[in-house]
Amino acid sequence: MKALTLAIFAVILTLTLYITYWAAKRTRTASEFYAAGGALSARQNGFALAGDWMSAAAFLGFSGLIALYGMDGSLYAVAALAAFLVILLLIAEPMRNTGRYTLGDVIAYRMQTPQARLAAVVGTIVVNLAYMIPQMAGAGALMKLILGIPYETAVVLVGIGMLVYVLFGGMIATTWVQIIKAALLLGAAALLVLLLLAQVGFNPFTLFSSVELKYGEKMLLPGGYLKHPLDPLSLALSFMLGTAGLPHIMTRFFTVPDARTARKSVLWLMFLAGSFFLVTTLIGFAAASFVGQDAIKAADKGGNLALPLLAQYLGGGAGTLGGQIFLAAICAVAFATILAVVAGLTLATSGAIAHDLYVNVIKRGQVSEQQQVRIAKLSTLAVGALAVGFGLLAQGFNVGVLVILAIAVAASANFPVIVLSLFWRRFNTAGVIGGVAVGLVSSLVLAFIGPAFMKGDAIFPILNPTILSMPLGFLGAVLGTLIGGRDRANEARFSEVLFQAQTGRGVGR
Amino acid sequence: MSATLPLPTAAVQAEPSARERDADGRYWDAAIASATFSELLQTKTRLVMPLLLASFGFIVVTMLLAGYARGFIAVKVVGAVNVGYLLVFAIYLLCWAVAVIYVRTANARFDRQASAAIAALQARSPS
Repeated sequence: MKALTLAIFAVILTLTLYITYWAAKRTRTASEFYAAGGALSARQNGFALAGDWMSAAAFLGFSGLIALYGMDGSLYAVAALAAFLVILLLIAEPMRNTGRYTLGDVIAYRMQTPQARLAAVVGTIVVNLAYMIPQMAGAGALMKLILGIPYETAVVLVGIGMLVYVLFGGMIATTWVQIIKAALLLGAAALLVLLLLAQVGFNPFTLFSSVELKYGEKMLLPGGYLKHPLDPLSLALSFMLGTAGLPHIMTRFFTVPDARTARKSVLWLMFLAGSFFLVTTLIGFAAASFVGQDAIKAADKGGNLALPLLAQYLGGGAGTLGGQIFLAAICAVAFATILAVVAGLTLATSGAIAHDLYVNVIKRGQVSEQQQVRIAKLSTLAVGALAVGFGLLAQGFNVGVLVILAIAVAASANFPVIVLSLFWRRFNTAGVIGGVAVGLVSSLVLAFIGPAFMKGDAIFPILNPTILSMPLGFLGAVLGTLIGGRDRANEARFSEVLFQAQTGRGVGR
Repeated sequence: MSATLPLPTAAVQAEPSARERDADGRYWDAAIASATFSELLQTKTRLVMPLLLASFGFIVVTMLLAGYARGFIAVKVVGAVNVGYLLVFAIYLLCWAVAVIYVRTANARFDRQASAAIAALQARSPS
């Protein structure tokens, strides 16, 4: 059985490594390394975005939450789709029209000061590390369970695998691994839904009643996980605004040639990932009624293995060939998911360090093309080592708090600065610094004195701090702008930024 | 809206003297005040604002109901399925509908209007 599991893992990993080998031959310039040369089609980028967005937290986490807590998990899933409304309507196209490789590019284009770029670098690094650590910890836990290898070994393996993708294949490899993974994941989910519906005579309503019968009506009501009455709203705001501040998602819009392709790729994402999020309710409920909450909790306290366990059950059950194949395939896809998402995060982080910090702030742009790629790879190595180090420290740590932290920081520190840069004439460098500083500090502090970290003794009652820290971030940005004083040259520049952001003059060769 | 413009080829070149003009705010003030650009901006605002407000409104109300009106959320609609799940399902449909409406309208209008604005800018300042 173990040999079979290993064989399935080997097949999927070999496939991704082959893609990397193929992509490595096509990665020479900095633009190819960071942005796949800006040449992806809408469908390719849509699949890659869906791959990025269906991370382990979404793919394993949402179905687990639904299996254990019912409706609150479904609220998480739908919020993850609603997240892309703001991106589609306000952010994706201006982002494509004003940036090259990083979020820092967009801010620096508006402000033209190294300080503003530096503030964007800080926001990027904090968000990406907070997002990366739970992925590493998730990989460690998953591998330990499936292959029986120690947590530490698994984390180091993820680190090495991810570095291979990024160092050799850059954004082209990372993108193609995401595309393949998204297709595998959606295929597996479709099969899973087909099999689970077959169990209930293709009547999904049966699942709702069977869950209600087995675990009581509370499963069909909010409040099981999101205890405070403001928690659902804060969660939704966090996703809807925070996703627009996640640097590894934003970087995806630099990989397409123009605004038209950017918006079409978001449409692809919303249907691909949205359909998956929609069926997580069925997957979670099926796991709760067929596998049982006790068995799910026994495998992992947080419910993260509900989906793999359901796959095992539907394949024929533990110990059967079909069950083992389906379980191994799901876990291999989950592992590829984690590798690919971590690779994307590493690329976005190394972009912030190499392209923003080194090339533009320290060297003021006086760096040759080869040097840029070399520095990018060096900083990738450093970020990878950092991720493995933090991943090792994160064992047994509540990873839920980190995901909340990442997205709350993105909503509170990055989102206000992006929006105001693109849409507010008076916004200035002092405002960027004020927004990032206040958003960062308030979301960090509120998350750490909140229920995710302090459990019962929480000083701040709401799980997700965004509902308070995001307005504070905006306030910091506005106050910073007012304190910084009027800057006529900068205000005059806004006209150019507005024109550029809305028309994409000269973008896409 | 001038109808004879070609579809955007996105092959517009940045003007060589762009850097000198950057320093001159009035050049860009005039650019965004131009008829073609304000038309583009107006089309965008008219499309984006209602979509954004409607979807935000619906989602915020649903999330507040989930927090403060659990009795209402619990009302059964079909079998075990309650108002809460109906609202969640409605959010999926809403997101998809908004996305399709936006992308279709944007594809039909924005790109053409954007190239018109760029063409007008270049016509005014042959470089």
